Amino acid sequence: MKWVDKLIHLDRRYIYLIVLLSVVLPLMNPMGLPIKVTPSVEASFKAYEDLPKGALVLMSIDYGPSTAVELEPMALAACDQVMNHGQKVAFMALYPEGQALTNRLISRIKELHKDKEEGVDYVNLGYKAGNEAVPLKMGLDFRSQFPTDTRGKPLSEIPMLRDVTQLKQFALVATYSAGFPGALEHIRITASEYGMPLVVGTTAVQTPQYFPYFDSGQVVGIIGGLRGAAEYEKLAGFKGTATGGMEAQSIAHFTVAGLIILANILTLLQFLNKKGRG
Amino acid sequence: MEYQLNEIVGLWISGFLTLCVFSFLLGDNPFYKLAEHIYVGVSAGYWMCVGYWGTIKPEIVDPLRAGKLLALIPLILGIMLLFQLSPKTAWVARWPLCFLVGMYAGLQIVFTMDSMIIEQVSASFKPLVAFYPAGGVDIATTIVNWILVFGLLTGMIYFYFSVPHKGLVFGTGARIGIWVLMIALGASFGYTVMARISLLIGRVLFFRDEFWPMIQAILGVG
Repeated sequence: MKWVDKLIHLDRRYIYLIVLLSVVLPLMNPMGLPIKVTPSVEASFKAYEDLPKGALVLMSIDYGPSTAVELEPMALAACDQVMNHGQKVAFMALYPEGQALTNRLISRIKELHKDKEEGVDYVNLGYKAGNEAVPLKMGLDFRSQFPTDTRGKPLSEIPMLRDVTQLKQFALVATYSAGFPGALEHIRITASEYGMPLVVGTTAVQTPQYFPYFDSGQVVGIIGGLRGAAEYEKLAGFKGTATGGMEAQSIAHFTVAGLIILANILTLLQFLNKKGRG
Repeated sequence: MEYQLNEIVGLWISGFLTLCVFSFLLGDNPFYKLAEHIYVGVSAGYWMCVGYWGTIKPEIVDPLRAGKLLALIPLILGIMLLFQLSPKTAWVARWPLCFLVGMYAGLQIVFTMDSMIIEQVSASFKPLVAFYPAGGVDIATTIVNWILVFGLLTGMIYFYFSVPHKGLVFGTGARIGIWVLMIALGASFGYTVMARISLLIGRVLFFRDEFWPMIQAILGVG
């Protein structure tokens, strides 16, 4: 069976091309595949939704450009939800590239909510080095970690944070995390040590690692990868990039799964053929 | 939409470097090498700036300027770390390394024990017959709890190496434990595929939503 050998030794660049087409074609021609919301994403959405008007949210932007495609849509949808409900959000970052990515989020907030003001409705506190030492000290004295915003304005002069001296004055903490430092530091300190309600948005690679913390009730919700972001956009009624991306994701998954099955069948045929000849 | 010159240049650089990186799929080539070297150089520069503005300035320079001499301790420890650049003086760097290891272990032990062991162990004590709050057996939750407890026990048996994996408890338990681990790894691999495809989707979306509209604007079409 020459064709079996030929297919098994197919130039891998054809596989790359097939996967590329499985991503590009659905993005060019959206089909409107259904998105089913999972309980962990629904719990995350509800954690924001249940906050009263004027409540303070602390959002830790712990990702860089390489993972922004997964994490930025969910963070943006949550920001839009917060702004629509009249809540206030303070951004911080344990991840060094987080500060620049926060600026991108803020520029989108400014486009979407022209009536919202910096310092009144949102503020960027910037990046703080120190990994778990940062949330640990935030719980003791918030201003020791973030004495000013990124523009150098003291917290006492920022209307929305004028009275904030403790982490517990925030109603909700959320981390959108690509790795270390990020979600684990917040789970260990912010959630477990200080008992703060914590929403974790994370990359697909890390999602299975965090599910036990949702199951144990240590975090109030988990949004995993592009799929989680698409589910969140659906719940929030936000038109972002994740929903469109999920169609490409689904088709690409079918393609990869199909290729794995095909490769296994071919290997089995090759084995049976050799056994038959032997 | 009108584009500024810096936006056009930025989008072209971004698009060009993306294609340079993807060109590696066809084999190693000078374009890929160019992108790789630019990435390494820019990353090093970025981390140096972050290191200075994020740590050295706020934690050492500013306190010293304000007359807080305690900041001399991290400064001296930091300088001692640099001694490992020479094999003859590398022993000096052991002291700050000991401090780092000790401090980090102290921080980790307490919080890791609490959040990752005690709370996780207590969360694994599930009722093997679950009931609805209004009464009646919750069959779905009961099945899930059985799977969780069974998977936990068999997985732990697989990693218990003090007795041979033989007999009904340790032999069969360890074999089932392998299956449980395989299923967990399969789910993890599925999520990894999702993450990698997401990265590709991100670059395709960049070409669709940012690069192509810029080309259309320059050509005056679309």
